Amino acid sequence: MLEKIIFIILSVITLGSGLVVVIERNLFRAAIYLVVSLAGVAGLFVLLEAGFLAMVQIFIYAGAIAILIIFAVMLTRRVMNPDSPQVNSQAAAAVGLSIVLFALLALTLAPDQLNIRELTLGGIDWPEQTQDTPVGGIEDLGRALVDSEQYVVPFEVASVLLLVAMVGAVYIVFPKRPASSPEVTGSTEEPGREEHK
Amino acid sequence: MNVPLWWYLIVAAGLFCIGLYGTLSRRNAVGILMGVELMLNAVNINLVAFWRHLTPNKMSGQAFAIFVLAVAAAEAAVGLALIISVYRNRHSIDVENIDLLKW
Repeated sequence: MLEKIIFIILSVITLGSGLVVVIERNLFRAAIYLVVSLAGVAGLFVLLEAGFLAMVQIFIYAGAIAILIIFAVMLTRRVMNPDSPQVNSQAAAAVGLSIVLFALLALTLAPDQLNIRELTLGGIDWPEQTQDTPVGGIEDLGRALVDSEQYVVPFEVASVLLLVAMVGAVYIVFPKRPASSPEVTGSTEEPGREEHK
Repeated sequence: MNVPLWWYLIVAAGLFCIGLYGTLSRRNAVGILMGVELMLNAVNINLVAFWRHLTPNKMSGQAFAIFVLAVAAAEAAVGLALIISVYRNRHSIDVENIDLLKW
């Protein structure tokens, strides 16, 4: 019972601040609420007994990625006036699409629990829940990630991907100054000058 | 373990749809990226919930969640670098103004 109460509180935090993230006009405030929402997801991971993932979620999402996003918001703050409309012309259609998708997902995921099986094509019959089997801990996760029978190749590919992404990000944002002229890059609008190194 | 699996799936579906709305409707490119992060998190909730309820003694669910995290970190880094670069060259991060590749 206590777990259900905690789950409901965490879900309300996650979904509520997620909703603020997408409708808040001030993008900086939206980024702060994104941190709250991601921390709520970390709480859900704790509830699912995935402690390592919850910690990684706090470190990488609420720490690194949120800071990156806040940096990007602050570096580009002048160009988007918060008083101008923050949504494009498809916003109404996007609301409709999101609601329809959520309704379809709910119908498919839980037709029995919502007492609507007769409305659907039958939904999905989940296998019997394994309540009492021992949960794999962080040791098992570490072994699985470096086990040649399991995930060592994806693990190494992920590390190469992160390296490539980091080098690519540094290369993309590196200011390109022409060697001959001391003009500061980015100060003048030159639509013809595109990325030719 | 008192919380049934479908509660997690419904919450993840809700978070995914919220992120989808943000991605489709924001004019600011950073806002779009935030919506994508919400969607990736919804997927991670699903992976971990399935792992805990269906195969708690195999680590595939958590391992895939970690790969999703790694790819999300790479995506955020490259995406924000692209946004900063576009901002430098075009002085706008409104995606409706970024139509160089539109023919």
